Amino acid sequence: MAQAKKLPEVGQRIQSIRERLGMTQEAVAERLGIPRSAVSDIENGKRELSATELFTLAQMFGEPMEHLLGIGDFEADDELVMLRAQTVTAGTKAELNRFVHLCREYAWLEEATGERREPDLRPVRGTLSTWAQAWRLADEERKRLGLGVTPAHELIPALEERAGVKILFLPLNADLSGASLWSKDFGPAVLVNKNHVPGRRAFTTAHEYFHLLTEGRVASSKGPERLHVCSSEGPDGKKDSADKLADQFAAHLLLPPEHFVEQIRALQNEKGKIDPFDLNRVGQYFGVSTQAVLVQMAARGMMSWNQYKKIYTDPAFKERLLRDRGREIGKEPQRFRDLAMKAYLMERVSRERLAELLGINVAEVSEVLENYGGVKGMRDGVRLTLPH
Amino acid sequence: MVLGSLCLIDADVTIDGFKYSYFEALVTGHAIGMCGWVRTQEVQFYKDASGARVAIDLTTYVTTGVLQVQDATVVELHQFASAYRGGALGRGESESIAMVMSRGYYFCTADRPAVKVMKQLGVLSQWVSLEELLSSLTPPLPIPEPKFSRAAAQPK
Repeated sequence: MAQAKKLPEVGQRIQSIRERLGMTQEAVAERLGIPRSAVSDIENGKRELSATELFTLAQMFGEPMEHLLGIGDFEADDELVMLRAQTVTAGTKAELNRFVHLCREYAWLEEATGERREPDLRPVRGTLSTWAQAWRLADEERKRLGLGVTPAHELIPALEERAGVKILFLPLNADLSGASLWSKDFGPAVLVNKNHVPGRRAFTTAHEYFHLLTEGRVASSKGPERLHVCSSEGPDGKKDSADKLADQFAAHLLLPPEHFVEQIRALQNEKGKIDPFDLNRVGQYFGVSTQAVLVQMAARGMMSWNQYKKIYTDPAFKERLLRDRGREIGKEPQRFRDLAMKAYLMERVSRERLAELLGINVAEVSEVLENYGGVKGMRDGVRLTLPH
Repeated sequence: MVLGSLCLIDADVTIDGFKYSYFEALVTGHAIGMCGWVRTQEVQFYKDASGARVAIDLTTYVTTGVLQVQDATVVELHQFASAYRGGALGRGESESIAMVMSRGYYFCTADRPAVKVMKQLGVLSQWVSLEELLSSLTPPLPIPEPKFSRAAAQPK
């Protein structure tokens, strides 16, 4: 009796989420390895759904299992309302859903381990409209967060530990750089495309941080958005004015002007010229892409925009750039992983759950634990000290 | 030890069963089962002493019926997820305990958070340690690691 009562509700919920995400029954059928007609039967409550199928759908939709089962108040969540409004592809919507879901997991881990961070952000007052205002904000934030002369190398831990921003790197579609969200449930959060090169990921992190600080208060922009999604380029290659200022903020934050000029000057030969290939080393030193270095040089009048274009479109330069990118090493956010490890050591999560949180197979947990400060076999009574 | 019902095993017990070569004896000596998620998504390989991946193929065990693969229904999962909202368990453990609750199966795990949840849900009597399963085989087998003893996973 209970089976007959529950199945239609679950089916209807699956259909509702699938349609919200813009996915077809064919796509769901392919993922589950069943005919399309079987998906239709599931949605109409005519076909029984196994636990494995339910878990697979939850993963595909980026939703917690409980939401599909109708447990908890997920429908009222305004992040999902925002997601519905986004004009992004079905795949991207599912990725954003997954981001929101992981942020909730992050907040749960903070609670479970007693490591909750209160957000410490200084949102701007008034409306920003000029590059100079974005630069000033970058200078203030660099000082406030104590980022030093190569901020990209310290930005992620500073935002996670000091500003209380949840940062997640997830593999996303190539056209999506990142997203930012300020949730009433879990606070400020930034999503960055893990598939991008390290320099670009650092830039995206800073870019999204600007959106959290300004909350859409930028002249001639789209205005306030609780969930901001950044594509690699806007429609027709045009960027919203908030994104343009966010780029200026990010470049200024990550390339402190005085130190940047010093580094560029050090590259000059006796004739005062610079080998463009050396700019890649400057990018690596600052932890940003070579393109960001070139753009800053042009923006600060160290070269003309025509020179920038000539260098950047030179095939030999591009080839070298691609080769050097393979050697880039960038920092990834550690806090979510640290919290998951700590939750395991405190017996707040099982070994299997730890594997799910870390995105690894259960068979790999021992090795990960062993590499994580030699904690293998130390579960009982161990309290892991996390870096602050 | 004679179990009156099917005993589900978790991914860790299965993977280590191949790593330490007790799996064959375990599934032929007891009525052993596994939930669908653990079978299809979790038990893929184990790592040998050199750290190399060794693939695990359960096909023969499943097709011959030596290992029973059981899928929890949505209703069973709903009952479990309604009763337990703690977030400590993985999908395989959730599916297994859902069937423990509704079908009266046993569950073999060495993970204390999972055993704690079973206690919380009133089904601790259906928890079986690997130590109990291996020691009741003919001939009995020792546990390969101390974590598999009943005492190690018993809730404090």
